[in-house]
Amino acid sequence: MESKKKILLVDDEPDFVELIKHRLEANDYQVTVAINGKAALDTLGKEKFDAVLLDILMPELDGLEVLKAIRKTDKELPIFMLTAYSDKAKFKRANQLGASGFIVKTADLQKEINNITGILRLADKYRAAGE
Amino acid sequence: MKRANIHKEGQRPLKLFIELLLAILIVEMLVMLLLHLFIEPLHLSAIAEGLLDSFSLVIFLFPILYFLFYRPLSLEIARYKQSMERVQELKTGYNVIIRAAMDGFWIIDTQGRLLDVNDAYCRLTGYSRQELLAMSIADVEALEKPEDTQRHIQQIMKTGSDRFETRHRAKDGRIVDMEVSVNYLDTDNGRIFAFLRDITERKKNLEQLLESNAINQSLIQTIPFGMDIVNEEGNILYLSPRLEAALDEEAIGKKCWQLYRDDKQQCRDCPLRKEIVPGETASIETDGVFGGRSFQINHSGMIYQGKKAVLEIFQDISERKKTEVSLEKLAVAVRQTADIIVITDRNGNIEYVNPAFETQTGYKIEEVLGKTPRILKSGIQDKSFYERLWKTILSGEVFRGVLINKKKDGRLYYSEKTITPIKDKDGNIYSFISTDKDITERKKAEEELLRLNKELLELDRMKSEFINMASHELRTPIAIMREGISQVVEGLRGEMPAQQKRFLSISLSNIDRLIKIVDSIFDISEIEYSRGELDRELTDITALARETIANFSQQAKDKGLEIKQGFPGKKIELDIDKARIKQVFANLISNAFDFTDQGSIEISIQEKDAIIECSVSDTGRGIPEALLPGIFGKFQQSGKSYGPGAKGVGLGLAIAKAIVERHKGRIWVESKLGQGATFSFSLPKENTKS
Repeated sequence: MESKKKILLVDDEPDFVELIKHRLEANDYQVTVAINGKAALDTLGKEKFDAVLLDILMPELDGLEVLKAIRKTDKELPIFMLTAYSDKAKFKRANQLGASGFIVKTADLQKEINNITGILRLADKYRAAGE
Repeated sequence: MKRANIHKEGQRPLKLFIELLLAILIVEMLVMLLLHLFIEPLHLSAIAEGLLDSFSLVIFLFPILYFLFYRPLSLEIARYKQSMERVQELKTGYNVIIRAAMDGFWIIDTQGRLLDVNDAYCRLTGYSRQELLAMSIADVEALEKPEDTQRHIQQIMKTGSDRFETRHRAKDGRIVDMEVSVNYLDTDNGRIFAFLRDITERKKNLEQLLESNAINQSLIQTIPFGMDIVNEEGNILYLSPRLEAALDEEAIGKKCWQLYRDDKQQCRDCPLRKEIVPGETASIETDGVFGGRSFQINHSGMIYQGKKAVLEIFQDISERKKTEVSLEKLAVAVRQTADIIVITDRNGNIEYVNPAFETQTGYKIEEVLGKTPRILKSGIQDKSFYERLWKTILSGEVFRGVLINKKKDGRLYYSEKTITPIKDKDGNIYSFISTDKDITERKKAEEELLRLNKELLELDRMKSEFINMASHELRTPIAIMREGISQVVEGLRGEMPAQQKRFLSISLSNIDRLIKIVDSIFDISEIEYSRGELDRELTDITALARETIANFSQQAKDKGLEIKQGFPGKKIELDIDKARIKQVFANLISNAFDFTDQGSIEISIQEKDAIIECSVSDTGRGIPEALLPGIFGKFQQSGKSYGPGAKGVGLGLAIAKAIVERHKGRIWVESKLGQGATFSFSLPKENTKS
């Protein structure tokens, strides 16, 4: 049996974390939660993940800074930015920093997760073809 | 002529002598006849007869001889003697006259050789008589060439006399102007008698006269306007050509004021109102002459044609007057202006300050005259500032700058200063004119404005931040609400009764509506109030429209509507914010779907001269006319008032309008109730970055 994909969920909003974690798990993901940027980086330093869902707006170390820090060492890891609203400037910045995609929190999250799943499968295929 | 008479007198004695001999013969014959008739009959002795013969002859002959010959002869001789004496007398007189005459006198032969000259001519030329008698005309003639002289002599010989002017050269080289009067006599192979008069002085006088006349004439011509002479009554006696030319009517005899003055009235201060004193001059300045001009008229008393008269000389001073008036106006301006005006000499010593200087700096004019504007120095500008200032103005350039000066009471003020160097015609600076505007108030206002602007910027930043925060803060709970309900409805949290599920589904769809409203509000505030630039890039608008339409294909299928496209077959590239224009298309198409239940929706793009026109037409319900004017306003929703199914937020068209207008385009609608609607917008081709 194929082992579950590991996702690191980084968000400081506990209610939202609880809900999306439940949906991710329902979509067969193994979810680790980091409640802020620093915790996320610490966790990433210890464990390997298949993808990261990273909230942009967080106190102290925000999502963009975390993204930047991750991309310094890992260019491959799929990182999807979580955002409650569409701030064009931040989207642009995230794109420049190497974000893999965006999840708008107010949207239909099942559709958003379907997209992520699609992307990850595609990535697996390419990797398999490469090997 | 005299010589001819003398000549005839000389022939007379011979005639008398012949007459005498004839008379003696006649008398002898008569005596012989008598003797034969009276004595012979007596038969006297031969001797007695002879004696008687002789005696009777004498007796008889004497009276006859006396009366017949002696007396006339002696009378003749006496007359001859008398005429000879007269001739001598005349000769002496001639010599005396000729010699002593004031005019020069010559006798010359036809070759031009001098045969006789008088003392006067010797005096005229400085030669002695002996010297002159060895000379000919050519030696003294200074004007005619010898051949001309010869020709002249020939001509005189023909005509008998001549009178002409020439020039002779004196012994010392002087040139003497001569008037010559000549007569020719054909005696002694031809003689020419000439009287020569020195007219050098006369010539000179004439030349002087001509010259002074010429000066007078040219003076009259060059007097700036003209001159005339009027009599005591003001009637014009003489008019200079210049003045005459300026008038188009006959002037002589008319009153001068009737001719020159616009009001035809004598000047109030006309010098003719007083007694005329020859040699006295009076000058008046008068306006309203020759059609509103100003003149200075000099009146000089004189005697003209034996009577008192006045010479009037006119000088047009209209320009000067105008200059005076404008100078006075300028002076008033300088005195009245609120700007500080300081005039200094080349070294910066103050020569003049205007009243504004006194009121604004607190210094009185007498306190600053002769001082330099350094008294106003605040010490705030450094040395290099003043060095730059002086370098600028000494090089002849205008200095402009703002500096802080100090008033007499120590208060500082901002001065906007302009210093202009004034140069003479050779370009040398002799003065500086400095104008200062006390801009302390303006500076304060500027500073206040800057502060307010800064505050505004801060407010704007805070507003943006607030909107962002509010947006985030508002959406996060909505997102949580939505996700929670969504998980329940989807059954992620276990199955639930259908009835309850239905209510939660309604909640969910209204949460989505709420999200739409919130998104739209933040959208429009971002478009309308955001200072952020449009994110322009060169975009093929037809491709953009197709891309937008593709997003609606499912919806069209669901509603059974046809989507038509009317695009030109080529790319139309515009410099636009791709995402925003896509939003316009989406909003218009979405609206069309909302209000169209059957038929079609047509999206078309047309290229026109300077614009690209895009439109979205539907076959829907159309819009009541009354709603058309406010259709692009915020929270307008025509659907709400006239039919079911509309679920818009009421901001879609407002957002579209805001986006189009930020692109310098235009948006409009054409619709009739029941006949569908066409929403169009145009974008300028030259969509340069705003």
